[in-house]
Amino acid sequence: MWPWSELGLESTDDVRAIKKAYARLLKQTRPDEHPEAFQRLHQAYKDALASAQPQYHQPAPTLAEPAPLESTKAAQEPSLASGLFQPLNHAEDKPPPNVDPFPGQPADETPFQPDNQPPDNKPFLDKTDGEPSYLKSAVIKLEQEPPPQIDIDTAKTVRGRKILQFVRGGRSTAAPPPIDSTPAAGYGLRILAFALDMLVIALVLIIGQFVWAKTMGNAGLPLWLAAPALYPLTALLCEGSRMQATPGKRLLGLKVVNPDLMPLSQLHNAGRFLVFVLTTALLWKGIWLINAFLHGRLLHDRISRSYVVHVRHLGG
Amino acid sequence: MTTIGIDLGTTNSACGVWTKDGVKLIPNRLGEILTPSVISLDTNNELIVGRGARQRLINHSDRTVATFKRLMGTDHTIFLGRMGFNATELSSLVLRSLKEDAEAYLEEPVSSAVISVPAYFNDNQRQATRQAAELAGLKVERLINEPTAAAITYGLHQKQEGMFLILDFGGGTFDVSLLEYFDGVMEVHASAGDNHLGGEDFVDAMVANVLAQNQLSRDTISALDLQNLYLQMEGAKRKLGPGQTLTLTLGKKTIEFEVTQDWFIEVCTPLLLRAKTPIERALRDGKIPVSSIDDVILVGGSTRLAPFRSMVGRMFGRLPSCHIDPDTVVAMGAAIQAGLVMRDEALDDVVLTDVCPFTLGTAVANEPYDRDLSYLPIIERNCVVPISIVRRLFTASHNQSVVRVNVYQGESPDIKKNIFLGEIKVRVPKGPKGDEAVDVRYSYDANGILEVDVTVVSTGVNRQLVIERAPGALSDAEKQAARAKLAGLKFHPREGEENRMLVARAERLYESSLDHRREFVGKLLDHFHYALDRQLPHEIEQAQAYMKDMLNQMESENWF
Repeated sequence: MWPWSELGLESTDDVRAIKKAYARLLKQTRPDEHPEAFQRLHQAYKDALASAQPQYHQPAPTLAEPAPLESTKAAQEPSLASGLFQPLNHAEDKPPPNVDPFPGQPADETPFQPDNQPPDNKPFLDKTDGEPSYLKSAVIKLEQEPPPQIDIDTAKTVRGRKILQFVRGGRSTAAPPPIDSTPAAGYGLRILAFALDMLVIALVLIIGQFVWAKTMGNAGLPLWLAAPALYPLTALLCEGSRMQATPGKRLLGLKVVNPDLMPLSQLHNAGRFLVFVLTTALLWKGIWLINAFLHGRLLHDRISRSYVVHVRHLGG
Repeated sequence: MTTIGIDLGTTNSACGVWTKDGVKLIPNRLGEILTPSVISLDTNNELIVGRGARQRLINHSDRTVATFKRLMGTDHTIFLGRMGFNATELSSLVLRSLKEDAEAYLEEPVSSAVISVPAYFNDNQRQATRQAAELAGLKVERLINEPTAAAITYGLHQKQEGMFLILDFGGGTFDVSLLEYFDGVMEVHASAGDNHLGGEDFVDAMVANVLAQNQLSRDTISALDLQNLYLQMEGAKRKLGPGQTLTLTLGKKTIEFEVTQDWFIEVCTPLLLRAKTPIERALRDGKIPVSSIDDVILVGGSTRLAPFRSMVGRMFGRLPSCHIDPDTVVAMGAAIQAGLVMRDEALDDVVLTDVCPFTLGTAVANEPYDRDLSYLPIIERNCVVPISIVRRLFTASHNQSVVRVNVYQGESPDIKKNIFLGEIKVRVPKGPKGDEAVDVRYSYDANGILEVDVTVVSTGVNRQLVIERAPGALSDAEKQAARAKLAGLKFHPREGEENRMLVARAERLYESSLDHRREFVGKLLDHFHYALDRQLPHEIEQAQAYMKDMLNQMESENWF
């Protein structure tokens, strides 16, 4: 696009004229009223400026690292340091403009960056040899490793306590875990799931034995009787998989989750398995009775802090 | 109907209004310009906002909360007593208090406001600020970036023209903006910032250092001791000068701790170095040579820190300016912007152009490297707003039936490191890959609010982004509930505010003193209560003045 016609100017190097023209036109095309016309005008203005002053397209200089001063140096010059901090503390009471807040230091010693000097690769902050003494107490001890960056934006999105240290007062808690508002699957459903699992395991065993007998000859004992013993193993394998449920639970739309409604970690799942085996071995038939009174949060769920919920409560 | 300008800060808030004779800052019910952003709930479930609440931070720390602005845009809940609040609700309480102060001062209803937010606030945080205002019964005319507000004050109020670099170092955020003011045009060239770097972090670092030196952790000392330690460190930070000795109570032991400048500088250097990154980025993005910057302007209370000033002095080789009170300059700018929005004739010939301080983009699968999704920037950071950009994207696999557009904010090529803002799904007709296309349009307006809109090219189906579960965002039903909850809370009656503040202050002093000092404060309190009970206005006035005088003498450090 030809910027000059948009700005109503002849091609010029006069930055002042370009700015004047832009300012005049901008007042007729306010950004909130004519967004598209404004974008065009702004682009034309930028292009015009770029052709008028090529240095605008050079990358801006990178500010130098503050020269690594040893903190011991400051310790040797305590009077200097306090000399700096004293007037600065007073400077906070709105010093009038153009009054040097450092009395005693001639103003022309302030190290202004020389104007019009092209931004070269030698950052001006390295030129610290001639710096006035009061700037020396800007003691920045530069560590070699980069400053610790707290990755707050990540921390914020993870529910946890990390961010809460930034708030003072109040009893700050994270939002309650989503499991609190998610109902557990009922006992009846869990029994049904268990029965279905038994059926599935027994079926697999029967078919397996049938195939075995066809190819290798009869094995004798009805193998499906081993189904109850295989149940915990099935649970361990299936609930730790991406299915998050035994076949019976899956058929009924149940899933095993942690308090954040996420899949269990392998370790968590192994813990759940262990708790299940131990409680069952310890209480044997009593476990049926106890679980009947636990509102669907069965003994091993409770101990292992895992949850069995219906997928419709998981929100997709 | 008036529009006021509000600076809703991490530590302090303030508000102002544009009048025929320029900006007027509005004093609160205590006659002060700054209202600390602190909320406390007393045992009758009555709200205390501001200085009175700040006094309660120590001895009622379980019912008082400060610096909650840092949680804006998240769904964390803070409990005051038994009631839980999120940051949006807490902010709305501060806004409500400011609104009432303004109404009392202007003697007319106030229903709309211009509110300043850190330039580097993301979309979620801006939405949360908007909702806070809505809950407080204020219509948000405009969200203005804090450095921009400061620049308006310097540019319009002081009639300075030229290129400014504004460093806004507040209680919780650090913002950098590069601006130019000429011929009635206020142009922002670049903004950058660190959302989690502020004065509170310095105090935090000091506290952490003291605890580490004594082999203690936050959990091992009581909340009361911790709050005390925070306040002592805050005071030490403000008075930083020749070494001062503090007596700290840490759990069972009491130690003498000397706060020296060297120690402070050592503790704070990592934080100061973090402040350099955004300064460099703003200069690079603005493509402005350092030599053409006419003035470096300091805004925000934390810029009073001597080491910070020295660092800035070193970086630019000149002394930064701060001839307008850095605590109120943002509120003044917001008030001027409010005047601009109302198109007051005195401001009619000023136009403000701002930029989008961060990159907004989406995730795409790039062949042949489509192992992972990669980041596709759509609106590049620091381009002038309002802006609207369309990118055409194509289906990535055969028979793809749904195109999902994820909306991200951030600079990292790794999408996981960027902030996820929301997603839109649209159905597309099935076909070979690359056959179907969607036009993704990102529009970013002057308030810093993003709109994403996706159109399927072949069918013309159009979807707009509704960020469904942005953290902290409220649905309409939740908004109603929050409004009902907040409406049930009553502010303390205005008349009693000053007295209550004095009582709270004396109580705090009583708890932190010993022996005759404590006894004396006790006597003062008795005397004051006696005067209050007699309910004779002139006696109360006298007692107030005496009490204030005495308390001021006792804590010569006036950092509350």
